[in-house]
Amino acid sequence: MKQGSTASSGSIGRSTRVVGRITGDGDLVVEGRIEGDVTLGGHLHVAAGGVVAAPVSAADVTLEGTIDGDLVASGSVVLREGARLRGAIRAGKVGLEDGARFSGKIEMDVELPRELTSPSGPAAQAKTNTRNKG
Amino acid sequence: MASTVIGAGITVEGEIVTDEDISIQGVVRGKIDAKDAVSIEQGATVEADVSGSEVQVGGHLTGNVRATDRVVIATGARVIGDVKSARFTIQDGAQFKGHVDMDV
Repeated sequence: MKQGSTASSGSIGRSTRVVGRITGDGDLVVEGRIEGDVTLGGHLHVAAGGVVAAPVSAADVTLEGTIDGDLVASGSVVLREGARLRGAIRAGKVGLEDGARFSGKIEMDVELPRELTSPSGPAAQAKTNTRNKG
Repeated sequence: MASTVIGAGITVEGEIVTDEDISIQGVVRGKIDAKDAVSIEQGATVEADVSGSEVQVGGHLTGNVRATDRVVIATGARVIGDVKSARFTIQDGAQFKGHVDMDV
């Protein structure tokens, strides 16, 4: 995990609270509290003690603090020890480490076996049958 | 380096409340309420009422400023709004339009 101090990166300090929306193309480190949607083109790092009480969308997310809301990442999501997440995760890759607490559903970009995706596969047919019966 | 940094690529729409110092390089629309120093860097755009101990403006600020210690508008900066502070400096080349209250 890199935390370069590039011009487009930002941080929300420990005793800082943001009530509102945050958008940007850079990286963000959150040690404080955000009550509002976060939409980032870069990496979001919610450090231990940091809280985001709203939906989050970013390229990558590292969570050591708390997120109360759905999480969408184009890249990877890692929940470290001490992390707490209440909401759904949709990401290319998801890592759930020992000691992370999570309740919600996870949707990864998984390549499903053909019988689950092809319209003529048994799963699809089963679905059609069910629908016909119902 | 300030403990809270709103980087150049980042936009905050809402209220920022902090007990520590804060540096703005990006865009903030709403309100900034700090107990410590506020630095609005060159290139930053702030459309918000700002309060802090010491407010340094190098970028563009539209909104009222209130500081417990002092306000500095640096060369190249533009401030449109009222300023309330015991100490107030406008450097050569800065633009300012608004009311000043130095508690005299």
